[in-house]
Amino acid sequence: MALDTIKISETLAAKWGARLGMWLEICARCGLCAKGCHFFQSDPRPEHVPAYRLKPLRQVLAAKGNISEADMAALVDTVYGTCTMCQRCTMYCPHGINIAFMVRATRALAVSVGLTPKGLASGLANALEMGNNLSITAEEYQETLDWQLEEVQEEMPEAACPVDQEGVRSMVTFHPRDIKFYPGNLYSYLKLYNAMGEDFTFTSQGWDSTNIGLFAGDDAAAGTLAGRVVAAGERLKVQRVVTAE
Amino acid sequence: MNVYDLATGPLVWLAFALCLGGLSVRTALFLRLARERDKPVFTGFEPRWAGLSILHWLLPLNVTALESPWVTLAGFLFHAGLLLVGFLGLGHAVFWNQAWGLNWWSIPDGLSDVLTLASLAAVLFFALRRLVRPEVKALTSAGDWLALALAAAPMLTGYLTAHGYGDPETMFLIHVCSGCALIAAIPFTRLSHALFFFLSRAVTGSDFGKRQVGAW
Repeated sequence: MALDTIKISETLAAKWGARLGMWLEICARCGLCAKGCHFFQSDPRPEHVPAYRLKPLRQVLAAKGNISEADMAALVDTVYGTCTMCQRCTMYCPHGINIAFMVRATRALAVSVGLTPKGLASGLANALEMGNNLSITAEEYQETLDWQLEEVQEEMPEAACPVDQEGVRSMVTFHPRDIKFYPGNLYSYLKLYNAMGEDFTFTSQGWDSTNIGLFAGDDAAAGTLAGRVVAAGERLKVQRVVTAE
Repeated sequence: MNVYDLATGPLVWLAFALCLGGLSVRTALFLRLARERDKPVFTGFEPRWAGLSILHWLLPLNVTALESPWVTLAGFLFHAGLLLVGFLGLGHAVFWNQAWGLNWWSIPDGLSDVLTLASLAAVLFFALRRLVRPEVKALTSAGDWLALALAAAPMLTGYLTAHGYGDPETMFLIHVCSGCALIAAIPFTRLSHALFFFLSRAVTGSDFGKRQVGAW
């Protein structure tokens, strides 16, 4: 299938802005960002210098979106394969250039032509369809909460695990792997919040704190996923949403 | 009007007009573009964090100063020489006074010499770094050499003029022309960081500050 370069140009135009232009221009190519990058620190190849990740974006801009499939494949490799968008490089940059911001804009180009890497795309599809990126069912969710509450109650008989309680202070969201792979984390959350005497609740809707849409560079999906957490918080009339890593 | 008058008269006016006019236009365009399609520049703005972030990088109070001390030292020496001698060098102070009636501090010639040589040494350091360090070499493009050459030329020719190397009039003429080129190029090349350093640090300082992770 041929590359839809019109779609790429449109996305490029939509992503253009004051910060993007400024940062592309003032990068001094000093390479100091390399000190902050775990990719470069563990494998010091020139391609692992954070500033290097702006190359594909410059290339697409110079070509006004009209790039070859091979170049697009290289772009996908660079912006998904060599960056976790942790922003540590920005801490080391004398100009304070936010490279992750531009990596995300570049990822949007890939998203616009359906080139989101497979693993991310399936996690994103799961999140949109099932409400969490690991396709955990409502039953599994509640069972795991109940199980971990029982564990906590062995030490703290008074411990509670409220779900969908309205009007409390904190609504707790977390990563779905805490249900599927590391239920011990849930145990810790419950123990901590109960010991603190925190006025909290879990929620049956919008509990996945991850936003794969944001990470993948898919703005529409990012908005949908963030909107669910907001909607859950508003429905339960909580004062704040607590987001675990 | 001979070449000498042309270089020290209209050419200087032109350079300053391009520099100040260009920077004003670029600031206005940046703010307009931000208002139209980059709202977080304004909505996220935190004056305290923006100010702290600028301060932490105008002074060596940052993580890079600790982890890359040599590059930091070279960076400070380079900018100090360029700006201090540019604004306060005795010959320049006289020029500011004669041309526009501006009176401010001047620094003695001996100090200007030291600052200029240190600054040129920093240029040499940056050039070698671009050639030797693979990760910097891979990033380097023609624009980087242009920026370095634009900055180095007036400093080198200024030093040579002050110490009587070469034909005095020719050397002085090259010095004035290369100085004008540097001033005029600021808004239109990577040297625009003279302006955007502050805007960029304000944006990023605000962004990091609101997350309570320090004034990076």
